[in-house]
Order: sequence, then structure tokens, then C-alpha cells
Amino acid sequence: MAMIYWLASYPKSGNTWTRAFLTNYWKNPESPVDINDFEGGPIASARTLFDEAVGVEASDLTPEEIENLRPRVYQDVAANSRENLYLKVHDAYTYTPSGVPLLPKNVTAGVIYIIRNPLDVCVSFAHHSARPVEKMIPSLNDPNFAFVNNPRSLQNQLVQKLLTWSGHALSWVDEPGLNLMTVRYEDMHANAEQVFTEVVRFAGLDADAARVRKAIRFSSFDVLQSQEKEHGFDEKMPFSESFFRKGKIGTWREKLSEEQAAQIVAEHGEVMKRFGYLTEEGNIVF
Amino acid sequence: MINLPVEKEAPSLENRYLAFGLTIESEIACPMLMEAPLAFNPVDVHIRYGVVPENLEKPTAKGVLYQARPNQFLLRLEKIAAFLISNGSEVQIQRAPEATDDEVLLFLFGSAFGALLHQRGLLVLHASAIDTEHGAVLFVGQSGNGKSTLAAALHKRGYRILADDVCALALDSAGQPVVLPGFPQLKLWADTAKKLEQETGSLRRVRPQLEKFALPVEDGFVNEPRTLFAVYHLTAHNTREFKMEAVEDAKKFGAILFNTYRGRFLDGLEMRAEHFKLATAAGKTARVMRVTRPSAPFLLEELADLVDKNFREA
Repeated sequence: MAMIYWLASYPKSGNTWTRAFLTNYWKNPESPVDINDFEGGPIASARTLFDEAVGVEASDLTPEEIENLRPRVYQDVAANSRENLYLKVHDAYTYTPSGVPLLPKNVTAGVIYIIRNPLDVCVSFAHHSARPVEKMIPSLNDPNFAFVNNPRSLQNQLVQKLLTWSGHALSWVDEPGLNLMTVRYEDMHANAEQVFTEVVRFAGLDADAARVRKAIRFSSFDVLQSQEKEHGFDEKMPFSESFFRKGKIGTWREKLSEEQAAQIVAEHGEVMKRFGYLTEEGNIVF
Repeated sequence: MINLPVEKEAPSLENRYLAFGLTIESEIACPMLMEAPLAFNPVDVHIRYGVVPENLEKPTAKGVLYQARPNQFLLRLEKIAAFLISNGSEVQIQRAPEATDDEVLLFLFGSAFGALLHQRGLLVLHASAIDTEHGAVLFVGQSGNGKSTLAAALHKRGYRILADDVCALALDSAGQPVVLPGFPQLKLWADTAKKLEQETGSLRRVRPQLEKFALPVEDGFVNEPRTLFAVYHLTAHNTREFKMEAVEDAKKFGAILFNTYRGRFLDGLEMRAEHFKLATAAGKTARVMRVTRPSAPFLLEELADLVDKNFREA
């Protein structure tokens, strides 16, 4: 019986970067790992993962039935694995209609929760979804916002409840009984070596300084972006130009109007303050 | 193939059906199946109501809703039904009071029958199949990649349907892989129906809560085995171009094995060796192509053109 480390985040917050780093760290290869070959996949909400574990297809089940069965899918996946697993997840930490956590605690080894300034998330998410930013802001503020939520067609992922941006963060970090580490995207940039060393230790691996440095280099934005340019990335959305866009901090300052930024701050100010994205005086950090 | 004992009983011609080359006698009416002809046919499969145990004794494999051991398979769906499948010839159903017939039938002719066909030593693939002048053409690939949709589009162009979703293959007397006819129905999601200009108002939903419809295809169905000709492995990618490439050698066999219907059932049923043998035979004779389409928008007519042209020119 294995346990699961969840690589959890709201979309466009550094999850893929973390997977890139961890994969390069484990494999310790001579050259960077192929971007289409990262560990941490498939995503926890992958339809194939569900269908295989359950024995009937999610496409024949109602959304409530699917939600109620998902915790048992992760228990099954853990029970059938010899080694601890690392699974990417964008779902918020929610409870099923039957009243149990969607992602069961008894198979959870730990959670690496990656968080990013919601203003930059908004810009990056808009690019990712090929939507204008003004249409993205209401999604970040929508408590019913869900990914892959079209009941009229079949998608390769199951519905994922994201809640609001703040709701997502709080659902994870304030959930009692989770062994959870919060990592800020901005700190991954500023203090890569220190932050990724902590991630390695938290993920139950031995931290080797030279290996951490190499994995950071092999998962750098330039490497990821040039690989995408060369042979594409499976996780890019079909209508989006690229998955790895800028990887920079503070691009919201160029892309969001003052009014749009204020809209996000008005909705998410409390949580932004808590994670250091807003000062007590109301100034936006980063 | 395993020779299973065939029960000889006085024929009662009610609720006798044909599917997957088997004569089925069923206590539950199965309106989507072909009725068996009035001639005497030994019954291969009995479907009965009865009490289904909570658990199997000493299961050798388990999933979230199923348990399996050699010759026995148990599937329990809360608020719908429990199914016990034995020896490739018996299905016992215990239904929940609130379940509709449609719901019971959906899972009976999905996972439950898939397990039964595995028990019979057939090569059961997650595939849709049509008949062509060269023989059976199969579409395999992950859910959502367009198997049923493509089969439906080609059906609209006049090709007859052999199977949808659950597709069983056997070896004929000459040792050639043949595709057994499933039953005359295609399952379509609302958006696919719209693309095919198929109105859904008159169609039955596979379950009342789902936007997924059952399209009967009696007139365009082949009710006899067809020699396997080709397997198209459908994938979708965030590219702009279609891509079609021949799969060769051992990879052909992989493409078939990888698309086994509920492959994990085989572990508990201990049917891996049998399955492997048939998959090898299928891989040897079939032309296997990998087709990548842009994931969005779903260019259905373009995909159908490409595949249609490819197997016609073969």
C-alpha cells in the first residue's frame, strides 16, 4: 500500500513547474526530461484513472455518483501501487455529496500547495483559456466555478470544482488533518534553491544540493518553453497559443487595468494579505 | 477459446436474443438486442434475477465497484443493481427498487457483459466497429477520443455497424480473427448528435440524468461475424493538423492490448494468457493505424473523410 503526495494548486500557479522540477530531481538525467514525460500525471481528475479503478465508465454515471466514487478511486490507486505516488490536482479540497473528502486523508502522505498572486493567475489563466482577462475575473470570483463542466459532451477529464481563487486556497490550507506545505510561486522564482530543497525534503526524498541545482536548471522556464516550441506540450489548451507563456512575476501590471486589479483585490484581499500578496496598507506586492 | 458447457433446455422463445454471437435468454426484457430467430438454438447465456452476494469468496482482484476471481465476477452499483457473472454463461441480477430498466441494461451490456465475454476467452476491446468491403474496421482509443462518434459519422455515410463500446473478437475455424456483432445501438452525447444532425427528441436517454442518447441502428447493422481488417487508434492532441501513421510490428499488438475493455478485470479472472494469445493473432493480421486529430474543435467530417479514404484505398 502506497500513499499519495498531492501537488495541488489553482490552475496556472506553478504546478507544472513543480512537476518538472521533481521529475528532473528523481530521474537525475544527463539532459532535461521531456516536458511530455513529467511525473505527477495523469491529473487526479483524469477520466482513464477513474474508469480503470471503478470498473464502470464515468461517462455512464451522474456527476453526484462520480463525486461519491472519486475518494475510493484514490484509495484503489494507492492500494495498487508499490511506491508512493505524486498526483497533480486542481480540484479544491471539497467534500462529496456523501460527506467525505474528495481526496481521502487515509491515503494522503502530504500536500504541496502551490499558490500565486491572483492578479498574475488571472492573466495567465486568461491566456491559457484563450479568453480575455475581463471574462476571467468573474471566474476567479465564482464560488461555483468548475473546470471541464459541459454535461453535453465527453471530455478526457472529470468535472473539477475550483471554487473562487480564495476559496480554493482556503479549502486546502485550512483543512484540518492534512500534512501540508504551502509554496509561493514567487518564492520559487526568488529563492529557487531554498524552496525546492524544502519541497524535496517534504516529498520524503533526500536533498542533495548539487542535484537540486541541476533539477532547477533543467526545469527552468527557458528549457520548458524551448521544448514546447520544438515539439509541443500535451497539456496546452487547444485554442491557446502556448502553455509556457512568460513565467514572469507582475505581468498583471501590463495586462490588467487599474479597475480590473481593484476588482480582484476587492474580492480576494483577505487571502492575498494572508499569503503576502497585499500589505496591510493595501499595496499589492509583486 | 474455452469450450463452455452448453445447457440444453426446452426452448421458451420469450426474451431470447442474439448478441456477440451468443444466444441469450433473459428474465429482463432487452429491447435494444436482436431477437433470436424462432429456430431452436442452444442458450449460451442465461440472465436471471436473484440474490447476489455482498462479496465473492477469495477474490483475486478488486476495483472500486467490482471483484473478480477465476470464472466469477461481481459488480455492485448502489441504487442500480448488483451483477454476478459466472462461467461466461450466467448473469444473476439483483436490482435496487429505484432503478429503471434502462439503467440496469446500461451496466448489464457494459461492464457486466464485458466481464462475461472475457470469461468466455474472447478478445474484448474498448472499440466501436463498422463493416467495410475489406472486413471489420475498429476504432479504439481513450474515452472522449471519438470512437462512437466516428462510427456514427461513418454509419451516416452508409457503413453498417458491428459494435459500439464493447467489441468482441474470436478466431474463426481457420484461425483468423473475426469481429462478433454486438447489438444494433450507438450511444451518442448531445453535442455529437448535433454534429451529425441527429435530432434527440425521439431518442431514449441511456439514463434520465445524462445528455447521452441511445440511437437504434437495426437497419444498418451486420448480424454476422466479419473478418478483422483494420484497427484505427484514435488520439486527440492540441495540434492544428491531422496525422495518420501506420503502426508496425510489436507496436500493433500493443495498440490492441492497450485498448482492452476493462483490462484490469483480466487479472482477477486470470484470463491474461488467453487474451494475450488472441491479441497477438489480431495484431498479426490487422492493419493498425494511429490517427491524431486536433482536440478542438472536433472536425468530425474531416476525420471521417481521412479514415474513410484510408481504408477504402487500402
